[in-house]
This record gives sequence, C-alpha cells and structure tokens, in this order.
Amino acid sequence: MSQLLRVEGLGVEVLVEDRLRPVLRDITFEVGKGEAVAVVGESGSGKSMTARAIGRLLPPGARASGEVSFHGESVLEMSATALRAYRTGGIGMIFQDPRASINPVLSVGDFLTEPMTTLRGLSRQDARRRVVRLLDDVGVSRPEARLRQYPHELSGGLLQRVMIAAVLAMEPMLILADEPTTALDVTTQSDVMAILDEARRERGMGLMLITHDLELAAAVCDRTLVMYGGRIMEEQASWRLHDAPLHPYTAALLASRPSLAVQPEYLEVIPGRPLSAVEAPAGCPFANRCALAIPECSESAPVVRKLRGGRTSCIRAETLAPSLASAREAS
Amino acid sequence: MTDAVLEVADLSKTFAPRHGLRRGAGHPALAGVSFELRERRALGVVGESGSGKTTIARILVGLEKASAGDYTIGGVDPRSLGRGAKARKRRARLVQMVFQDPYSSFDPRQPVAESIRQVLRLHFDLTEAEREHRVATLLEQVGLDERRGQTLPRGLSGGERQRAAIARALAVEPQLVILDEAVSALDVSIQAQILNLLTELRQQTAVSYMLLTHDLAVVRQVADDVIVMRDGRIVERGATDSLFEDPQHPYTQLLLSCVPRQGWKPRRTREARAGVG
Amino acid sequence: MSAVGAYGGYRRRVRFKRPNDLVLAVSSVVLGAMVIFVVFGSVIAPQSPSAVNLEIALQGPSLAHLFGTDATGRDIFSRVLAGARPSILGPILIAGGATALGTLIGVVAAWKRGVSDALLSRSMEILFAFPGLLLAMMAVAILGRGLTAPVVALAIANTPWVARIIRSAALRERSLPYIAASSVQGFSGLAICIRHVLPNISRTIWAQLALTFTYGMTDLLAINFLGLGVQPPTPDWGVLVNEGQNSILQNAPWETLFASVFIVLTIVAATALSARLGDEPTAGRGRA
Repeated sequence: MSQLLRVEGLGVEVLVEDRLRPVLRDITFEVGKGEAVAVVGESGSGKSMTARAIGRLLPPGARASGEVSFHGESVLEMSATALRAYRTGGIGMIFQDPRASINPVLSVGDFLTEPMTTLRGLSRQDARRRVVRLLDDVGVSRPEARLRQYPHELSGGLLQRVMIAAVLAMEPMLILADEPTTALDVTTQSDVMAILDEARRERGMGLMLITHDLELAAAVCDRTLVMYGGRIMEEQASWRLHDAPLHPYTAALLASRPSLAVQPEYLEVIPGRPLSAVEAPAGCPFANRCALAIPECSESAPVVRKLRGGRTSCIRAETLAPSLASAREAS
Repeated sequence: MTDAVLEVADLSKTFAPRHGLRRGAGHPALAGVSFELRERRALGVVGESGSGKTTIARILVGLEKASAGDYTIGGVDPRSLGRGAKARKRRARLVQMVFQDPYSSFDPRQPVAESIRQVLRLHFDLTEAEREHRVATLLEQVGLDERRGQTLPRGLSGGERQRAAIARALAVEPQLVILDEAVSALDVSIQAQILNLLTELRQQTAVSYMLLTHDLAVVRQVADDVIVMRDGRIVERGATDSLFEDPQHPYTQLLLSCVPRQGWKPRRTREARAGVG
Repeated sequence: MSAVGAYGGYRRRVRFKRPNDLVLAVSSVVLGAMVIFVVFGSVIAPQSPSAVNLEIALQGPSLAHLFGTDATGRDIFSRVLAGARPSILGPILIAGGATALGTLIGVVAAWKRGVSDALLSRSMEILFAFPGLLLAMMAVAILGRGLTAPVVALAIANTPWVARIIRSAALRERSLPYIAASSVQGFSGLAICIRHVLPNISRTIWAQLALTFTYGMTDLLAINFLGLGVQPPTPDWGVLVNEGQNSILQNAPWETLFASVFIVLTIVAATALSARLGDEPTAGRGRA
C-alpha cells in the first residue's frame, strides 16, 4: 500500500488543571509516498498536537484515541523497540526553533555524526564524510569548518539547515516539519523549502508541513488541510483551496491576509480571536465567529465529508460553495 | 527644514566585540544610512535579519547610541536635549515604540490600563478623573474595553496585548511611532485586525509611523513609502506602489521573488544572493 | 538522531504539587512558632530561665520540666524558649543587612552595566575571598565580644553571595522588552528599578533572605559556641549547646540535644522555604 501515514479518527485529550479535555477531535487524513501535505491553522488549532501525536510525543497525562498507522503498523500501540526504529528511520521531525532542539554543548560535527555511528554503525570517518556531503547538500558553506563549530556560533537559518541535515541523514520515509521556516528570513525560507522539496522528490519521501502560512502551503504541498479548534475544517488540492474554498473559515482566512497584488483600504477581518482547541464547544468551533453560521452549526458536531473532490466539515458547504468561490475570484 | 517628522543623515553603528560571543562584531550594523519620513506618512522598512533595521529603531528611541551620523525627530536632535530624566521625558514625546513580542512588553504584574495610566502620570498634569477618561479613550481607540484594560497581560491574547501596546505608545502623544515587527508574532486573522487598526489610527491621529518588518505583503498593505535594507545599507527606496510594481535593485527583486504565492516554487537562493552582492 | 524536541505546544499550568505544599505548610508552621518564641519566649516560658536550683540539676524530661534541667537546675525548656530571641534575632539582622546591601549592589550593577558593574562585581569578588567566620572572629578581636561585631561582620561577608544572585536575576529581568519599553516611555532608571525590576525579582530576594538567614545562623552559632558572641547566662542556643557539653558525659544530654533540635528545625524550615520560594511556577503561555 502506498500510504505512508494513515491517521483515522484521531482524538487527543490533555490534562488541563487536572482534568482531561479534548484538544483534537476526529482527525483523519493520509500522506502517501512522495506526497506533500500541508496542515494549516492558527494558534490553538491543534496542528502541532497532531504532529506530536504522530510522533507519539504527547505531553504527560495526555491520551490518544483512534488510529495512527505508519506503513500499516499502529504507532500508538508500538513497542518501545519499534518506536525507536520509527523515530530514527521512519519519520524525522523538524521543529520551529532549532536552538530549542539542539544540544548546545555538542559541536555540530558531534551532533551530526553521533546517530550515524551509534544507530547506523558507521565508522567515524565514514560518518564525517557523509555529514560533510549532507551539509553541502543543504547549502551550508564551508562544511568541514562547520563541524567544529557550536550551535551558538551559527545563525538561525544555518542552524535550521543543520537540523534538516540531521534529519535527512537518518533517511526517514516521512518528514514532519512543524513551522520549520517561521523564524527564518524569506530568502532562507525559500532555500530551506527548496531543500525539503528536492529531498522529497529525489528520495520519494513524504512531507507533512505544519504552518500558518497558507501561501507557503499552496506553493510547496499538493494537498492542504485546514484545522481550527482541534478539528479539520477542510482538505483540498492546494491550488483549488485558494480558488474555491469549501469552508467559510478558509475563505475568511484567505481574505484576511494582505497580498502583494491587491490592497483594499481595510482587510476583511474575522472578529474575535482564534479559538483554543481546549475551549472548543460541541458544535462547529468556528460557529461563533462565522458570518455565515446558522443555529444548526452550533448544535451538532461537524462531520468531515467528501465534496467536489475535497473534504469539508461545514454543514452548509454545498449551499455556500459557489459564493465562496466567486468571492475569491473577485479578490 | 521641510515638514519631515524624521530626518536621518549618514547614521552609522558598529558594535564593539564582546568576549567573542557576538557574531560579526566589528562589522558595522549600520553603514551610513540616510532617509526621511514626512508628516502623517507611514514608512515601511524592509530587511532580513542583520539588515540593521532594528538597530535604527533602537538608536532613534535612545536604546543604543549611534557611532556616527545625525538624526532629528520633529526637527529636534534628541541628543541635544542632554542627559537625565527630563531629557528622557522629552525624547519620549518625540518617538515611541511598539515591540515585536507581545508577551513580554508589559510588566507581568500590572494590568495594562495601569501601564498606560503610569505613562500619563509621568508626562501630563491631569486630575485623576481626566486621567481615567484618557485611559478609557485610548483603550477604546484600539478596540479594548474597560474589562480588558483591567486584566493582567497574561489574561490577554497576543493581539489584545499589541493593541494595548499601541494605546500605550499613543498615550505619550509622540510625533513618531516605530513598530518593530509588531505583527509578526500574531496569527493571520489577528494580524489583519491590527493592520486595520493602524489604518484607522492613521486617519484619526497626526502620528507618523515607521513599520519595520520582513513581511512584504504587510508593507504593501500599510506603508506609503518603503526603504529596503541589507547589511546596514539602504539598497532601494521609493513609494510603495512603484517599488513593488517595478523594483530596481536586484536584492529587492530577490526578496519579492521569494514571497510564497500561488504558482511560486521555492528555489535555492545562494547563486542569486551571490549575484546581488 | 532525528530532531526530537521537548514536548512543546501545550505547556501545562504547573500548580503547586502536593508534596511541595506540605513542605511549605510545615516550614511555615515551624517558622511561625519560632517567631512567636522570639517575641514572647520569655513570657510564655513556664519557669524563669535563670532560676537556679541545684537540687533538681541534670534531671531528664518530665511533666514539670519538659526538656529536663541543666547542670545548675535551670529549666531547659524555658531556657530554650527564652533563647529564641538572641538566637534568631542575630541571623535576622545578618540576613536583613546582607540582603538589603546585596540587592542594592546587584540591582545597581545590573542596571548600570559597564564600568560601574565591573567595579561592583570586582569588589564583591574580593569579599568572596574572606570566609564569614574568619571575618567575624577578626571583628570580635577588634571590637570585643557580644552580638554587634559578629553580626556586622557576617552581614558584610554574606553580601556578595546575595549580590551575585540578585545581579543575575536583575540582568535577566532587565533584558525583557517591557523594561526597554519603560525606558522609551521616559521613566528614569531609578523609577524602573523600583517599580518594575524589584517587584518582579521579589521571589528571588525573599529566597535569598531565607537562605542567608540559615548561613547567618550557622555561623553565629559557631561564634556563640566559641564564646565569642553572646555571653552566658543569656540562653542563646549556641551557648546552650556549649554549656551542655559537659552534661553529656554525665548522661544528661538534654541541654545540648534540645537546643540542637531547635537549631536544626529552624534552619531546615528556613532552607525549605527558601527553596520553595525559588521555584517559579511556569505561567501558562500561548500564541496570539
């Protein structure tokens, strides 16, 4: 089966003030070999928690339900040994702040070669050679000199490239990148995304990109999932999502972003603030901010269903779809 | 002297090396920057990290000292005001700043309205009633109600905190407000709210704005004029519309080419950057 | 190793966990009791601390004499209670002095940076070189026995420890944007330090106060034990420990024992309190 990652009905509850509250509900999607899928959302949407659930890195006391399977094997029920293999060769995770995930007392060289010598059994010279080649691949200048440097001597952009090199070194089948370029300059972002994209094509890796940047998602990924309040709002082929969103939230998000092309005097704004997944009510989490909501929206739990080649959880999707599409055309 | 609110001439800054932990020490952060900002205009300063834009801001508000060059705000050279508390106060009436991180730009132990109140108490001779009225007006101007004003910073969202920060900056009634990446840490939908707020405030007040950001779309939305900075120098300047429609300098073109949009494909910029010099 | 980070995303609001709460409660009770003894010790003591009665000397604990009697028949319980004041007052003065001076130096050094910081830090480093006890003994040698000389000397000796901690706490606070914002708004450095820096490092200051109290107490006890500080018949606990030495050989360790118990209880309670104050509960944070 070509499905690298299959998430079905994933739900996660976390401990908030000694009580279990749901933060993810009914998350279902797939990533195939060589596919790039974007998970887009604002803070509190649950996008990072989804990545953690896939990596089985949930906070203490949290509980996961549903299914997460990698190559047919259930991640949530893996044994410790299988989990280790999964985390060191199945998936690779890249986080937003490279400085927070790197050991500051190890030199770059030690950091990169250690997993190769301990986990892959390479000799130190072989590991060094591979590492230098990898650093060159990810666009790090003077790789041999870099091996002797320490994390605090490198800029954020450079450090993130080192982290990518570290992840690519393990040759994972799926990369989970959680806001990998948010802290980087736009030119560095272009570089980093280009590197990930190349790696994906050359190695047939899958990519799950978590970001708040809808445009970045559209540019890099084949499909985009939009999350809000711990639920999936919609999923579509990226280019189509921009032209004909299936959910009022997506449409509103697209409209509120300033663009290089058009500058209305005032941006179209979603009133209020993004809901934190922990506070999500029983019905549609977006109902209280949605200009197109009807009473039924808050009453029943939204169910994701297929529509026009994509999926959406809006109960009014069929009625609204044409107007959402034409609104995008106008802007 | 024109009606320029801000005039910067040949501003330079070189940071002294400190224990070798400072990267690029000895290298100038600013190398002879000159520009001006006219009254009631909004200037966008675009640059990546290391471009020097934050250094300019810090020099203008007095958090850093320039190594060389001059600048005047509202026709006044803040350095000629002397040192000491009175000088600091007078400088505060010239220029204020809204910082990037909404989480730590307020004293965590005080409700945001109290921070505004203290600022008013420092600068203006008002009765308590007048002061309270002013605080309420400022909060309302930025879209915060009294209850939000009485809340501690940790009870407010990032967007609400930035609104309060803008209110606090306006409380001083400065001539110039500098926003240092003030919307970068906010969610997209909240960013839109703050940008709209800035547009509204520009119409309501006579304050000029200087917006520092790396986000080109934000600049396009809000700024009248733009300067593009790289490595401590201005590489291009102009009215926003013409700069974006017809960028002249290769670096500006590179920046614009890196902005993700539909149809855009990420590409390695190393060669392009080397070509830009 | 793939980049596996710590669990971010949801930072749990850390409430006061049970075991810590218990420690805090017990410490507070103990210290509260000590405070009562300091103020009312001599008054609530069942007998006069100086009532000599050779006939009942060296008796073990009984209903009449809860802690027994000493070599001259004085009620140990009463002496211990009465001894609270001299035993605790001295350390409080040391702690207060060292903390006040250390906080002043630490905050000024952190705020001014540059030359002032260098000068202050180097001065503190010089002071570090002198062990408190030695300074105290020298002070006694010069100024004579009693409480004054050792207290002043120990306050000075403990100052650099406090100054160093406060300086780094103040430096951290100072680097936060809201301090820069206050500067930009036109507030003077003094106003910012008093209104913003000090309140936000107050937990650290209290923790240092409690900790310095324990060091002061230990050092002062040694001074008193050596007979250089408080003189008998004042029932300072260190004096009691000293006096009770001989009685131990006569199978009556009560004086030394109970005085020591009170010393240890006080020090442990103060240390626990200081540690608890030093734990900052993580505030819940999110985005936008």
